[in-house]
Amino acid sequence: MHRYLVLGINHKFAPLEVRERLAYPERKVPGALQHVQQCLETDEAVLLSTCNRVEIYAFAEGMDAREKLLAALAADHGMKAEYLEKLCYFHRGRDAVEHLLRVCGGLDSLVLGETQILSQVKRSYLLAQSESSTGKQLNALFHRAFHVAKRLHTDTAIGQGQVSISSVAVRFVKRIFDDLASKTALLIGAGEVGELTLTYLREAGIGRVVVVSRSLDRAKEVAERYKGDAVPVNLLEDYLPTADVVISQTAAEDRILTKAQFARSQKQRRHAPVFALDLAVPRDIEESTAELEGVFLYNVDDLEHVVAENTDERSRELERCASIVRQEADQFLASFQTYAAGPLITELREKAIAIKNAELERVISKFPDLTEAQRQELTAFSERLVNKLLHPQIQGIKQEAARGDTDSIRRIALALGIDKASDEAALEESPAAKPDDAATRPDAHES
Amino acid sequence: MLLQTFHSFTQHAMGPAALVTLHASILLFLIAAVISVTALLQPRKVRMAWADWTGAAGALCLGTYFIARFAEAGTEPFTNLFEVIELAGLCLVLAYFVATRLRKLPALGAFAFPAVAIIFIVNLAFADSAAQGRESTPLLVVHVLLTLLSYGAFFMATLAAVMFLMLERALKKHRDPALIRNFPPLESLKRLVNTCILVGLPLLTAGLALGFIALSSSGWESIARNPKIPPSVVLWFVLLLAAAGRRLGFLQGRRNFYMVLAGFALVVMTFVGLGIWSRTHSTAQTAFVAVDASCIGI
Repeated sequence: MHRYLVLGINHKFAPLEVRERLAYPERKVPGALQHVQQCLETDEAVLLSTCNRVEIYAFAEGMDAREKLLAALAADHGMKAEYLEKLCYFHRGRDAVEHLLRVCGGLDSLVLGETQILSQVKRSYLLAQSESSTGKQLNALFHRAFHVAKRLHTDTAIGQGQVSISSVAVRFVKRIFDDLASKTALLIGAGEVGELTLTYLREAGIGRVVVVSRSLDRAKEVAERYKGDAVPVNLLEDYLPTADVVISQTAAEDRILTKAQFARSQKQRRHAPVFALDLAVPRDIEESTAELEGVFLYNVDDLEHVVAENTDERSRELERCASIVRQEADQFLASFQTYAAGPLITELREKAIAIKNAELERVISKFPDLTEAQRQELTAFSERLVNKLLHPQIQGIKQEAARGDTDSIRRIALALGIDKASDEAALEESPAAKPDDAATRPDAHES
Repeated sequence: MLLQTFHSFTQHAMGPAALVTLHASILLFLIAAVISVTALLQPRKVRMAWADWTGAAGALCLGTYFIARFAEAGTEPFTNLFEVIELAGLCLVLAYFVATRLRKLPALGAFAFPAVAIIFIVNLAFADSAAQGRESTPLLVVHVLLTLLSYGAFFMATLAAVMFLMLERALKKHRDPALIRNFPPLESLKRLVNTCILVGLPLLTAGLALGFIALSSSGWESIARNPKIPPSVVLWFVLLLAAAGRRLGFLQGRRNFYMVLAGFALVVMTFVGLGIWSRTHSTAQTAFVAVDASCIGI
């Protein structure tokens, strides 16, 4: 199991400039995978490259894998390995498995619990698979990671509640309106958060977009991006009754929308609900507008308050998520280790069967008068004897393997004179048992 | 109370099939209520669909109970107040299933099943289950069915109105509590209230008209003495006002929904009052209430 390893950088330890330099465009991934395979002398590697992280997962032998991977990464980007060494983390064995489970579950993401990373990991894995760069070891690990990500989002609240102002705003819009396709969004001014909210609304399926700005050219420019209509600011009051969602983010020093204007608009709308989002500082919409029937007025503070609540809610789930990750990693490694004991069990059986066959032949040769039925009975007896004698041994090996006790397995193998399996067990030796080999990483960050 | 109900029914020779299905249905509705509330509060652990299936099983048991009663006694479930309210409960559950199949209305079950369970518990506690022997006529049957169906529609309107007011309050106060996260959007709830009123009002109008015709044969004096007539007429006016107010624009938003709540509260109070009255008054008076019970719309 300790041949699973990962080397990478992420948003926690490397600034954007470094991450930008180390990022792999999709077209360069096949070449990079080949490079990693050559360096590590392995058939199994996956490269994950997103805006927040670059990670190389591999299944390979050798205690100098970290240095080899650093050298490969540095060579690919024309950087010094010594510089990258300070920024990269490296995990081996159980730590590497847990790291991937955490990444897929969004526990290692900038926005805790986000799900976008899962699709990015899936895409990277599929790309590696299409390049024949994955084998049964990484396949098993990645499939388990996808399963764990799903479990984390189903069994815990790690993905519950929106954690950005724009997404929270859209969430509230969806609480009011059921059919966004028939609704109109009115954007007044053109701030960054306002446009982002409009982007989310477009993704949610808002029907029509109207952009109002003091500069008609600027309004046209923004409207074009969102396939909407541009309107000069003097027509704002005419368009207000048509708007179901009003987003305002101007640099005006005074209120640009008053309660009286909204009251007139609401009368025309027969008090149909309207979501008004005031993102401006100082505010654009008169506070008392919120008193009107059907008007839901939100400002930046209101949304930030909800964002903070949701973030706290997600953080409270971290402990539960960590426990699930540990439990899943245990299960995965137990099944993996049982699988790793396969060669020993096979060799043990082969050896026992060879002894049985030799002894059976010797006995049968001493009694040439045995009938065919007697021979068959003797053969069946010897097979039953071998099976019954081996059963507790095999169960014991499986249990030791599931516990990860490689010393015991090696002792069993040596006692039985099974040299090949003994070597296999030695390769699987726990780095935890040898502190010098423990996973290395910059500083004392990830666990 | 449960034993009392058993006793009362046993006096009127209720068979084992009817007994088992009746109490199974009440138990299933109670379980559905618990599941639905848990599903609202813990949506990741419990699914609302489980409450729906349990509620559907309860409705099936209740339907079987009515068939069993009809088979053994030869009477429709209109001979005593207890059964009339049970039938009303069945109509409420059916209205819930119709509404949730037509539109995606998550979390509605968390209000519908507990409300139905409460109605059944109150019914067990207060309503008189002794049969009163008034013969039903086709006119009376249609009157009762139309009225109960209209109550089913108003029940849905009331639930949606309660959810609307809760959600609207949370949105106005910029709160995002877990309780309301699975509520349907405000627009859906508003549309559901309006649709239920538009469906329920003609049903109630027809039900009331048929009730008047059915009672008129007993003389206008019996209509004047009927304790359910004033609240029924008030209810009809309240709902008419709510529908017209919305249509003509003089009664919008929250006020409209408060009207719906007041209207349904009137129905509940009428039934509960009648149940208590029938329990606490003498046999002669109970006989009079039984006649009322068989004409529940008025």
